[in-house]
Amino acid sequence: MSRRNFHVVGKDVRKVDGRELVTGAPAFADDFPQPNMLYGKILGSPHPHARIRSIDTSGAEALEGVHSVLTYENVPRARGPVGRRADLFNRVPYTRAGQDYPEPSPWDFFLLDNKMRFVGDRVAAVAAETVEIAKKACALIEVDYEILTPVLSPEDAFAEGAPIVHDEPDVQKAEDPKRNLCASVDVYLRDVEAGFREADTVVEGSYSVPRQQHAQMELHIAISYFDEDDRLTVICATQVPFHVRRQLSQSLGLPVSRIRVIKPRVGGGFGGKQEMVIEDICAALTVATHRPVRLELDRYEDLTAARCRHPMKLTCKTGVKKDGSLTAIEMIALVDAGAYGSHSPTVPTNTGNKNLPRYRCRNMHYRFDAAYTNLTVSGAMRGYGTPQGSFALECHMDETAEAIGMDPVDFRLSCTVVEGDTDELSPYIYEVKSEAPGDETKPEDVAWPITSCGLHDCIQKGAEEIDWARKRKEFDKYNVSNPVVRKGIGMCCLSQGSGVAGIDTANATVRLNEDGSAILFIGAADIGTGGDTVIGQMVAETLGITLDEVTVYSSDTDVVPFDSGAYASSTTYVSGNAALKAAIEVRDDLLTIAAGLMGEEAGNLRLEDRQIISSRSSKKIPLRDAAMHSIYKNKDQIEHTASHVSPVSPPPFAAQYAEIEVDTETGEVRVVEFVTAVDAGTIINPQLARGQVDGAVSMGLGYALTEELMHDENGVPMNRGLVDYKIFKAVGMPKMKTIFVETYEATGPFGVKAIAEIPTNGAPPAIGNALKHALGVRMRDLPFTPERVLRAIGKMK
Amino acid sequence: MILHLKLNGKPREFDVAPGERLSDVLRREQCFSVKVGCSTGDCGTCTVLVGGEPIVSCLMLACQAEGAEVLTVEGLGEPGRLDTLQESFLDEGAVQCGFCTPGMILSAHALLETNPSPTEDEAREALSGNLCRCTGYENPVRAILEAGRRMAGEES
Amino acid sequence: MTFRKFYTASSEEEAVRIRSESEGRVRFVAGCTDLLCEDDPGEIAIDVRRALDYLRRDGDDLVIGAATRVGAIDRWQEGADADDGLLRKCARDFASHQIRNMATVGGNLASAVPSADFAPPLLVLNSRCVIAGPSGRREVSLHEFFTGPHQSILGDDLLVEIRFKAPGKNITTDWRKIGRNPGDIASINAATLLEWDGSEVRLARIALGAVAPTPIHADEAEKIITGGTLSEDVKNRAAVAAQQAASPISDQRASAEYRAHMCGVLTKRMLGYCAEQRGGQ
Repeated sequence: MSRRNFHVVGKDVRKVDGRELVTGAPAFADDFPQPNMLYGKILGSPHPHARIRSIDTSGAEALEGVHSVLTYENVPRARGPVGRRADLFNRVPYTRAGQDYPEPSPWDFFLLDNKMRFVGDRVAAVAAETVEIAKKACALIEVDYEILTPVLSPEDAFAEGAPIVHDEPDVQKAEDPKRNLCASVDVYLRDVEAGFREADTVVEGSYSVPRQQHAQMELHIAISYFDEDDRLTVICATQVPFHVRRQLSQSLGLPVSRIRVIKPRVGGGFGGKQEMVIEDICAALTVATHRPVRLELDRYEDLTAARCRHPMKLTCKTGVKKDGSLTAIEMIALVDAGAYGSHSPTVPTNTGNKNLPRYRCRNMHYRFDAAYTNLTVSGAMRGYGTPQGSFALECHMDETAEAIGMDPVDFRLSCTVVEGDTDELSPYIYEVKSEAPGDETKPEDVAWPITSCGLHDCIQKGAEEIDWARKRKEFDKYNVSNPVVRKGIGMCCLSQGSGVAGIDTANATVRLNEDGSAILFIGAADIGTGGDTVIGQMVAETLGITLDEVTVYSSDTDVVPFDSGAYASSTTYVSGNAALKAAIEVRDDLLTIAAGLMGEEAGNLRLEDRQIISSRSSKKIPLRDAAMHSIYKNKDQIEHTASHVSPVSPPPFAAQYAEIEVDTETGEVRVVEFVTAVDAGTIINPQLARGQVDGAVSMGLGYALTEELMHDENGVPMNRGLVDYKIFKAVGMPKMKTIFVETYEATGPFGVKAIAEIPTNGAPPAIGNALKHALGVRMRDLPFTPERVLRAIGKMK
Repeated sequence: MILHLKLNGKPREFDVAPGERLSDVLRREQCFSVKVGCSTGDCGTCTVLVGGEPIVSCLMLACQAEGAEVLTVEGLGEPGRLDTLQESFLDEGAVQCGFCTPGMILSAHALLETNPSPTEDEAREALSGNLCRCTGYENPVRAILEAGRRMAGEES
Repeated sequence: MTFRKFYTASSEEEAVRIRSESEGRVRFVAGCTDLLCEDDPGEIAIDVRRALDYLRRDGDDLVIGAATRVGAIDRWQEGADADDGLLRKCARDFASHQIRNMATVGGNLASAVPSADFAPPLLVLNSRCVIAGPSGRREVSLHEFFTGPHQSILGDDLLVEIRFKAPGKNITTDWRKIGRNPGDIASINAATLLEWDGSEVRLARIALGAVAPTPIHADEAEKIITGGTLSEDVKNRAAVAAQQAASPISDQRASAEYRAHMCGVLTKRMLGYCAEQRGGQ
């Protein structure tokens, strides 16, 4: 399929779910309370590392209105096809990471356990008539803890004689839990040492990134109940309804056939809901009480006891020649997995393989070691490991440019990839991981060709938009006089992926009604991104109808076909492809019927504007006629289901530019202007795509300047709520500009690649590089707080 | 206690407990547009207008609203017809997940009542108590300015 | 846990009477923006908004009813005319619109958090607190009001109003606040009032918040400034003195070092601004 004039694709159409959202109609999980519903509450551990010696729940159970108190001693396991009867003991290791089976994440979690591994870990769960009573009951639970020494950093975790976070014998798939090693990768492309020897200059730098938290507006919430057929139903704010269903089955012992997961509208996910944070324990309370149960985390729990972005310490080392060509790049990451290993094998893999491959370099080395600690659990978060690496590598590349006296923009243009280059690292990491000893795959054997790449255009258009060349010089001149407020401009370039190659699977069903309208059933989980709308646009375009004529159904595991879920920027690229395939099959059926009705060959017919048009005779009939014919004459409703899995994950590319002002007396940094130029292939809905960029940039700005989930020296979280966890507000945002550099990615539906994650990655390095420009010093640790700025310039100790 | 409100233009009576928050009462009474994202007044998703002014209903005791006029998004527009702000939020792509949207629309509504043609800075200022993690505020700000223009057009 | 009784008091006397007749943990409530963030605010709530929401002039005094909302201070022209816009600036920086429409000046003081935004401006205005209890009214200087973090001399009594003598025409004032983003809780806040006699400072008041267990005056800095012109040297010495006046803690918002350092920076900036305003007249 090539580019042509589209009618629905490429247009700013209203979101299919917009109306219910602007009217505040019941749409989110909490808007569907059930009759006789109980309220759940989790008692969180006050200690980062402890073992329960004994636990006395009698006081809580005696409280009026309390229906169930669950601890590791009475975890229910639903039995047989009917959930009504429950055995009283259940200890099954599983992961709550919402990934395809078998999950790469270790099975290191238990519904309830006698060991506490971070502050907020599950001690007990209560179901009661009201939230107030449930809270009171939690306060009445008496626990005798054996306090253990906590592991509060990866360095501590790997130290000789460190306490072991996962010393339970039944943990599965963790790399080496006795050493607190959750996961690791150590992969070489050819010979980096030889590369460093070949270089004119070798540059090295270290960087660190903190815990960032999703801070989505809707808290983690689930409502579970047994329906009239005694099937467990869970309405929940999730990105991964099918993984939740499977993992509920694993953890509770109910067959998949007895579980239904409904994802209503979701109030933001950003990866935090690519995880079964509470659905399992909420459902366990329903199994125990046989009553509907609502469980919602409060904001403190959501911030500190759900998931966060992996904190990392990174070092980069690059060999460069005077002309800007690279001879070797090395990146080494020390990763804090937190108390459980959700996404810890995969997130840090991305740190390398979504960043290093955008540079042309034959010799590469990437290594990470992810440590179990007794801190908030790291997990999936928008960018999925990439932002950490982007910060380190893009600051490092500016340092490398400086070392050879090149302008950062010119340098990037000299050494980043173009169409026709290959990505060797990403496929090679997976190849090496799965290889038997003795096998020797060469990187070039598995390399993915880069089939669409607008990176150089992004770099150049972004530079023009922000007026790079002029401002770079002008600010240099301005800063010479040492003004209180200094100015700087910085940039970076970025890459990501489109879905997880060979893993992410999507299915879609398109059903044609007699009037030519269609119903689209997709497993893809729209969590506010506009996925339903964008995929609906593709179906509408294919069938020659308007988006209003496509009813989009997502996502209810009883109704829609399987989808891996909303993550890895996969919805448009992977799920869109499944929907497009199904729509094409529906279209072909329609054209066959029309060919009979019109006396034409199907190959000469096309669908456009609710008409079936012959390009040979310019005869046309309404689409409706063919649709009516299928149902009422042929007695055969046209409906097709198609699957899609992509063998590749074509990277979107971007360049981001930041102009800043920094107050050298207070240390405050103000971002004046922020430009994103992004190649995400074809843009299906420019307005929604721009919205993705705007939101991603604001999240990146927070990561750069204000956001940090902190723990004190005892491992206790310091952020009490959003009052202490600062995301950007409407006031304080810079002037924003987004440029779409459209390419055509042949493997994507209508030529699309992904957009959702990549713009998250660039604010920290672009601002870091701008700070260097403004202040002349390199700041290596996020976030760039005022006091760190003052320390960097020597105004404060 | 019996709470008397003029809720979305209609006189209503609710039986409330002394310690109940206005947000909880409104949700219980089917005003699902009122979201609760923090219960500490930081996120603004529970914004409603009391006497025409935006407040966070999670930090107001329901009893404190006695006799007040309370507006939620359910009170905007007419059955089957959206109001200007709702339309402009849709047209400008200001809605992503939609969880913060009702609060934003009400903050914007209060602004436009007193300042029908705000500047961009004023629109940003009016949204400063409504946190949003999806949109970066760009499209919502645009939507407010567009609604102001449309209202001016309707009047002239 | 939550309130089991709720009263609305129509007058100061009624509020005090209900309190003295009630058994259990009683709280006077107004904006509730701090109170409802507490885990266990109390058992009995007495709403004083109807009784104490007023702004007026009383002879030489300007009077702020304790339940006056922050938003009303923003719109209070008489106050802004008298204090060179000091309280208005503070009100505009206070928090979100929603909170400004709820939170009250009296509540901000009565919560007695070290970062209370209205404390520094009201301190430099030399405010007095009118407090009512079962034995009647008393007036206490705001300087004596705060006794520690979340602690004041109020006890079970009611903060009725805040009064300050309208300063003369020859004043300039300034307000500064550093938070992590706009409208944030202050990491540091500060206010300055200078009364001028020609080009000389006749009287100086500088108050700082969130840098000690209670909002404080920078006494030494005030002494350094008083009775002379605001030379660069005087400003620098005052800044150092202000920094030394601080005894901050480190927390999730800022380190002790940064807070102390900012006392100096903000003091110098406020003095610079005031001098500039004075020069421009």
